[in-house]
Amino acid sequence: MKKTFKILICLLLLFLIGVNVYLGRLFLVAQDENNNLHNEIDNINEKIVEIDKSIENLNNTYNNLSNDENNKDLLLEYTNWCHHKEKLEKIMDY
Amino acid sequence: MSSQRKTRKNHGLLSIYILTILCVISCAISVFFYIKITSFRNETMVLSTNINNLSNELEVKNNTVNQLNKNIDDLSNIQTKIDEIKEEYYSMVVKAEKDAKEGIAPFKVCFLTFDDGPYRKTTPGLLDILDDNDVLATFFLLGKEDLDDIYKREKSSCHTLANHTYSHNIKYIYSSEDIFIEDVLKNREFLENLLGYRTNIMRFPGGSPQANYSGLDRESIAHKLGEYGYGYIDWTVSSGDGKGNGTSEEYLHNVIDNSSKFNVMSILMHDYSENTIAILDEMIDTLSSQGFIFLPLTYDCQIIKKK
Repeated sequence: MKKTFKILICLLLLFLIGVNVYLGRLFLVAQDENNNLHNEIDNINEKIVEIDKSIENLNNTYNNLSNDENNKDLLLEYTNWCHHKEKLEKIMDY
Repeated sequence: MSSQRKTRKNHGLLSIYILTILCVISCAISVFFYIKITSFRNETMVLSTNINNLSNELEVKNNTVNQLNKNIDDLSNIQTKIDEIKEEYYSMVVKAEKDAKEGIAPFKVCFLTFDDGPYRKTTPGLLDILDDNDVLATFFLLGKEDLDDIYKREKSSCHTLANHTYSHNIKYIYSSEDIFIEDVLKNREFLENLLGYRTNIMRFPGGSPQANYSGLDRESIAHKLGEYGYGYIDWTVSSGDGKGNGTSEEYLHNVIDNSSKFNVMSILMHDYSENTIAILDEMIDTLSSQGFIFLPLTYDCQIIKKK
């Protein structure tokens, strides 16, 4: 009786060890996956910081260009040409 | 014997205890793993959502960068874009003039032209009226100092800027062909330095017959100017404001009474004439109601004489 009980406990222990090995693998995979995701987030955040810097630089460049008096005149002229071209296109549509 | 049995029994119990403890420890480890894995799974879901959000943010920012680069590129190449759109516009002007002349267009074409400007006192008001009517004209300009803002406004408003000699000093410029051409080229250089705009249309001060009246050969001058890429134009109808002693009504009538004869016409007026500016609105309205559209001159127009 005692022997049978011992065998059963041994089997249970073996089963639990098996379960633990399986769960251990799952644990490692999940941990690895999470680490990868954390790394990915870090990478994206780094990229965002870089892009933010680029956007700031580009904004400054654009503002400098568009605040230049000569460019302001040219922008106005371009807008006017677009308007007049569109107007004449409508007139010429016969 | 009994002590040996007792010892063996104790060993048996001990091994059962140990096995039971090991089972309990295994269970605890399993529970630990299970809890950890569940927590990782939840964290994974949150992280995936974060990555999606960050990726979207990254995409939006990338688009912003692309748009900004495009805007900067557009701004850096704005002159090229203006040149392109002007070319397209002027080719439509040429077609409109041709079709109107042949009577196949549902409109007539009027080139409003203003000589001798700019003037600080009158030209801004004249430009306001043209802007209000959304109409383009042609300005035959002289070379004048301290009026840069007006020259620039005429250019950015898309009016055609043309050459009317630098000095408009009739006695001086018609004293020889070379002097005349020199004065035209001086004005071309003046305008080009100021506006980056090279004129290729000119009008003789007083009109091209003035060259002959002054003892020069108009055709010969026109030929020489042609070598510099210039075409010239006189006018179809004059408002008469050049003499400076007429009333607004007379100027209006001078134009309106003659306008019905033409499918394509150029009207001579002057920047300095306050009486012209006073009736310009009415003139534009009346000519519009007669079916005229108002266009700026371009070198390829048939009305421009080329030698």
